[in-house]
Amino acid sequence: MNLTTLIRQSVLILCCQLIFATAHSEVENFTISGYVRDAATGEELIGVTVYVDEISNGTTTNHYGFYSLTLPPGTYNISYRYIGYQTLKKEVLIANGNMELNVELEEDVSELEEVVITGEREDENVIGISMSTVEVNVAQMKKLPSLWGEPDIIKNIQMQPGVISAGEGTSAYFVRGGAADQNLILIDEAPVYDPSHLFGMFSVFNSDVIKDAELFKGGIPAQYGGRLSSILEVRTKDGNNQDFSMTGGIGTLASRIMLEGPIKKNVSSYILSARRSYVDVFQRMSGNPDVRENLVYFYDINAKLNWKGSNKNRYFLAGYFGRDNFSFGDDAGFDWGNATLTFRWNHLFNEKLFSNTSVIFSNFDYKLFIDDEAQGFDWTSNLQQLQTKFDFSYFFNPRNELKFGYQISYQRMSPAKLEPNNDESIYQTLELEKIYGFDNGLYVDMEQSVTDRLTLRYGVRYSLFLNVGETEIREYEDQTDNISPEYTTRQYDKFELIKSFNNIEPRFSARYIVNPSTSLKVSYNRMAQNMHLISNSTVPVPFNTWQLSSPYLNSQKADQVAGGIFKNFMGNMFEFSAEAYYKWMYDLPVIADNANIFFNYDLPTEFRPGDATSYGLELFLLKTKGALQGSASYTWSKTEYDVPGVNQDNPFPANYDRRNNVNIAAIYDLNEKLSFGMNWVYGTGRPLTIPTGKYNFDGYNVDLIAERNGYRMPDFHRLDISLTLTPWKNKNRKWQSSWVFSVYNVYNRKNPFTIYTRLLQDDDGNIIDPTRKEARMVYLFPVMPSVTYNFHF
Amino acid sequence: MKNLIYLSLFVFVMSGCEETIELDIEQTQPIYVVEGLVTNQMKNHYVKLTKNVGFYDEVKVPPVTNATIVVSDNSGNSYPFQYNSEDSIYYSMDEFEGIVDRVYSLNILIDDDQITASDTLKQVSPIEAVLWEIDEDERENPDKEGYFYEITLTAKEPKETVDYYLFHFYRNDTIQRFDSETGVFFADDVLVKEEIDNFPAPVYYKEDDTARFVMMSITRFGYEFYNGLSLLLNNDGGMFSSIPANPYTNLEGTIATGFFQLSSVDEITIVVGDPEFERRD
Repeated sequence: MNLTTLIRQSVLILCCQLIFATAHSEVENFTISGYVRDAATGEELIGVTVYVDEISNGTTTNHYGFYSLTLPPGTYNISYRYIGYQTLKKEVLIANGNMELNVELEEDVSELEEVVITGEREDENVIGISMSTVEVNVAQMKKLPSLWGEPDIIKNIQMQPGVISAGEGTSAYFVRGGAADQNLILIDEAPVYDPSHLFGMFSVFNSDVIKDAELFKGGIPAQYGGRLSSILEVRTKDGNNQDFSMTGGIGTLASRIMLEGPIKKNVSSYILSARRSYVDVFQRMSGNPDVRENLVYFYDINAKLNWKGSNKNRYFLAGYFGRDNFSFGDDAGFDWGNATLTFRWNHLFNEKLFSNTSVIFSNFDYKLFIDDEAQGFDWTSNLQQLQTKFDFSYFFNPRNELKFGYQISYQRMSPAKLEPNNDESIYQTLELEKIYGFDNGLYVDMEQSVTDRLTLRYGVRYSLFLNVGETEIREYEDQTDNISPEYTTRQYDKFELIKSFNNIEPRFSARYIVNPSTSLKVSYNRMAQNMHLISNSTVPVPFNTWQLSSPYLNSQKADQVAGGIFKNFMGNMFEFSAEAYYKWMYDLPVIADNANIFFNYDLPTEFRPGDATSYGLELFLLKTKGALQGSASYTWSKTEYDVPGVNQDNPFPANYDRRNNVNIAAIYDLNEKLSFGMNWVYGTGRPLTIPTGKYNFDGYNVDLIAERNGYRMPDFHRLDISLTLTPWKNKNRKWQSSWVFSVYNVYNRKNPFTIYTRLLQDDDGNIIDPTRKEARMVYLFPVMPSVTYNFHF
Repeated sequence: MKNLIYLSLFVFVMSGCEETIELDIEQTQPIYVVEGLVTNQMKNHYVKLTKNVGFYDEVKVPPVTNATIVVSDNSGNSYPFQYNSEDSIYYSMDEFEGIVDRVYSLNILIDDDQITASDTLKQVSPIEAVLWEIDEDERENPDKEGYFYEITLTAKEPKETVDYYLFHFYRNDTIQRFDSETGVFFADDVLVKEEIDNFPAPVYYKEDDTARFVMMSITRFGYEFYNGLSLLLNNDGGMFSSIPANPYTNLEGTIATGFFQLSSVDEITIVVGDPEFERRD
């Protein structure tokens, strides 16, 4: 089927559905709609339950805090419920017209006392259709212990069921057997290509400015696409539109400051937040010249403006800028960073049709340099993406909601450019061919309550990726011949189509309520991915480059089925879920052994596309009420790759195939001033490729490698504790502050980071015997106390 | 260059604490290891034939002594090798010099096992100069007392051909491969321009040292082999570097690892501190 027919058909189907649905909706119904926000700050609240007693049904606010309910005339009791806020009940008379009803929820000051809402349950876990999703509770996260006292969303994500990390001190994460590049990371809808600071010690997300973060691992709605395994959507705060306030923190490694306030009260506000590490400040004071000269720092800036003149039109402008910088004296250095800019327009065509239009720009780049006479060079690499999204939600009635939209992005990548930085340098100016593409996504997604017990969400995403010129393509005789590649070249003009990739991605979820506290959910999703990170390590580094689908790199694809049981206990004090999944992944961009991935004109000859399968079981228990809150999870999973041309064509475990994972997090609020937090993590050791022997070649003592990933590092486990002290907890006091004391790795476990081999050495690094070798285990963090001071006024 | 990436990552990984651990390694059947080198120099060329040993074995690698080894070229010449028990190496019975652009084949027979390989002898452009100069920064703060003389190489890299190189640096007849004994110095010509002026050796020398600099041509296959060797020797266990893998080999037949290499060789030896070889810009 050609593209135009396909698009035409999709649009036709969409229109038919709309007309059909409109024709069948009863004409005398009226719509009540509006935004739900925090009374103190004016921040819109995402995912607020809006429940109508009379119809025993309701809706939730969307990502922008908007809700819409269409009901026959009558008097209704509507309640607005949100964890951590007082429930608001309104009696509403719907007589002869649509109503705009914006509501404000007050934060729950008596959080310690258990809030019981009679006759109703905070049971989103059970009644919501979403499965395989993780909501990060940012307020809770700040009370938990963290490395160097710096709460970090990615580190929190790594502790969720179904998510695996390759080791501490890294920001890569692996969702249900997916590789690190299969996670779409969005900040205010803009993709972030490398979420790491300091090679992953921290992530780029400053926790002060984050309003909400949600990870989708499965049953991914059709509005999302572009990655196989997960979507992490991070949304930042809009800024307080009631009063000016300042928030900040002084930590062991970095400090933060955030300013926010109204531009025009109730209507418009700004937020500006910055974070910077200051290890380099101490390094400069060091007596050791090596320490003084080798400097490391990173920073983040988040900024946002918004204008909420009316419910009909709301505008947002958000930006993120962050960078890491390493320098080794004046001789060499490197830096990398992300920049994103999002413009968003929320528009109500009418009370039932909500739209969001976004224009998004995203940039990632890195630079390496050596300042030397003969070896001097600058090496740069960058990628940009310009994207426009049109997303619509049509709220037929409380039982039916339709989402549809179209997204297009233009992508441009410059994998590497080399320039000599002085006349004596031996290097010449060279640049690898740039890569260009257009990624189109068209989707429709319907959420339908079929009966009181059964809700379905079904949809499809059609993605069309176009790899275009201008470029010169090498057409290989044998694409897998990386020793002596033979090729002819072909030139493509600007925007000339090189190859197109069509993918139809069905999505389906179903929820069946067995009894008021128990539900069953199943889901299926197909995902396609046209951006590929070229990396042959376990954890990608910022210097790895992205490639687009091209004649030698097909779309990656994945099918996932998942099913689970969701149960709440004791008046929703405990939420429990058990989920199982099976996932098939195809055309993964695996890289050949010994590949040169950094400046290789024949990079396509290093691609060894392969498949992988993953399956697992995830158990999760959450306690959301009472003085003691927290979660416990257990994940068993297995992920295996099957790649022709790698590991003698035998299947092998993924680099991150850690079978058993346990995560326990708990917070105990002793009183208003003191709260305790703890984490305990356990994981099977990472698979490792180890030598079975050694041999001599030209004086080198070389490891002989047999099976890939055939060995396992020792198990990983660690306990962290924290204490949060809020000395003067008084709501009326303007200046509020707290101290967070934490101890990382309390029992000082030497957790393996990696294992490498070397010639047998003594303690001073002298080789004892060049015929003998030894294995060395590297571990990163011993027991580490830290203290952070946070303030807000 | 690319090495900077690997080096910085390696340094980063190794900045953690570390300790020696014992790996529980299964013993596997040893395989043959071949190291053969034929050059354009008139001499008795060599082939080393050994087997690997277990990772923790405290023995030297055992030589294979009963092989029949013949090197032949594509012009009909054939050169038998014979085993020398003094250094456990096979040498050609006759002296011969490899000819540029000829393809040489290795044939090894050991009982029922046969290993073959072939490689092409490539041209190498001559070294123009090897000079020394004092590195003032290093003299102020030397890693090792007295070692602050930098040796530099000047040569022309012909841009009309695609070339690959292997370098050996000797200090008083001892080959230099960093303290870790894992330095592999090889290059392609993709990134460099024609004039290679004053490219520094990777190690410092002291006064009166003899500095020998050897430049060898290798084939693209040879480049791939040394690249794999370097990746393996300098691997961090696959965390930030690639997953450890055996280098590509041009050996075929019975399973074996190693490389049969053909090289043109050019070399210059200087005495460090000799005014004749002092760098003066």
